[in-house]
Amino acid sequence: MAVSGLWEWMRGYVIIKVTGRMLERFVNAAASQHIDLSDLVRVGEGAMMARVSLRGYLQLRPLLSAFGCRASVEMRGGAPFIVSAAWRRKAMVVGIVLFAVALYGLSSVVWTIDMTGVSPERRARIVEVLERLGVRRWVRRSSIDIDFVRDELARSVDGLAWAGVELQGTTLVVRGADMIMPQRPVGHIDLVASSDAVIERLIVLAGEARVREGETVVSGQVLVAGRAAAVPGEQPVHARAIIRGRVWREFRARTPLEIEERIRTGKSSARYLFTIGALRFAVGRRGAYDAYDTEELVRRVRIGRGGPFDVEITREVRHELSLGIGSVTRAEAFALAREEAASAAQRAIPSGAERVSVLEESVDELGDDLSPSAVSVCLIVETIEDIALMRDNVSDERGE
Amino acid sequence: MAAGSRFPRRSHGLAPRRVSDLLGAPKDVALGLPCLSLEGNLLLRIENHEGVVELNSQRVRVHTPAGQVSISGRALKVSMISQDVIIVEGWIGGIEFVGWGVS
Repeated sequence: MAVSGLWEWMRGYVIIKVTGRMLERFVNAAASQHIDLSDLVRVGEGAMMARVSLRGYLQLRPLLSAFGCRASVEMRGGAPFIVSAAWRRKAMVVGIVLFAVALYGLSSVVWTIDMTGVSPERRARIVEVLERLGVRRWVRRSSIDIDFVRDELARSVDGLAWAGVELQGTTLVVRGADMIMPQRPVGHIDLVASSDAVIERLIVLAGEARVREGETVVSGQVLVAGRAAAVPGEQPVHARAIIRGRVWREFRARTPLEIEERIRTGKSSARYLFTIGALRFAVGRRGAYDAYDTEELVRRVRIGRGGPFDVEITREVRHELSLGIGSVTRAEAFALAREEAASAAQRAIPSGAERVSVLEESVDELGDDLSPSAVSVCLIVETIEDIALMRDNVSDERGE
Repeated sequence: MAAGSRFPRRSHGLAPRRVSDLLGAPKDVALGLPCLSLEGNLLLRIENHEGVVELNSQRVRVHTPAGQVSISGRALKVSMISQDVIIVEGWIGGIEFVGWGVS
């Protein structure tokens, strides 16, 4: 129905009012002559409205006279009438055509070339390669062979691990990733202690051991030494070993029995700070609170593509605080301090370390009036872990 | 739907029906019957018609090879008429078969 309606609209149609005494016979005669009538509605005695195509309307004339009917056009519709009306306004037609041509022309060329993920030193080289391939602003989009450009970039730009080229509308997007080369040691490698420890196990795979099992070492002490190249051209010996040491770490935390409570009262004030280039101004008022905390939400808006400045909008909210002194029991303070020390231990101990023992000590601190004022907790965690740390001897290369 | 005539004529007898049953041919084609299809009570499509007999907003009567189809209702209109098909739209209240054979 929708397609036939569109077709009818494109061909043009008229809504006619037919009057006469033999309307049904007129309708049947029209149908038998392949003149399709639609939306036939009786509008009174001896009158009827109907819709008919432009061509059909012209073919109706002999039938109207044959059945003694008269037809008047009530409404015209469809593309031919619109085109006919527009054709009388030449300037508008020219404008529409120019607009269509300009729209098509401007959307067929590359307006901008964006690069993402590429280091600044490689940008120039990429631009150079694109220029050589004829890819620059204002070239036709259809003239760019995306696959070829991508392959050529990957081949011609040194240090580029990967390149992707994509046309997004009128923007050519070049994505890339720089190669990250592994760092090669300059001199020979020694293994040193990462922390103070007692050597638990030592298996030397390469190099010369400088310590024995059961020996106490300090952080930075050489455990296994490599060897520099004896003659130019010879490969240095890098120390390799499995070294596990017993390490003790101490974590302390303190929780006072009286703590300051900062509770938001519910009052707040917001102001907006606008930064446009070097210009900076604020809209709104700051709340004049004795105690408050501040939240900031920053949003940056870029004006245009590669525009001269960005607009930064900062929403600053001040929440009024009510300050008070709250007290906790000794058990609560101990639990809080222990929790803090334990989480510090969790962060500090390496993931591969094997926990051997945890020693826990707590101390009640007294205030000036000799009443308890705080609880201190000390956790001593004993672990067995890999303590070998590689150290590059750069002095080899300098010939020292 | 109601049979319109008390003593209908046997325009489409038993024999042609049996032959069409035997051959598996559609009855509207084999017997020259109109094909009526309804969409709710809003639209009636009649194929193989022989023209409009009456047309107004309360009643539309359509002549077919088997007899007349009388459609009554409100706001009725013929939304399309061609040589083969007629489509009646509106609030259809009833359809009556006038002068149809019942065998």
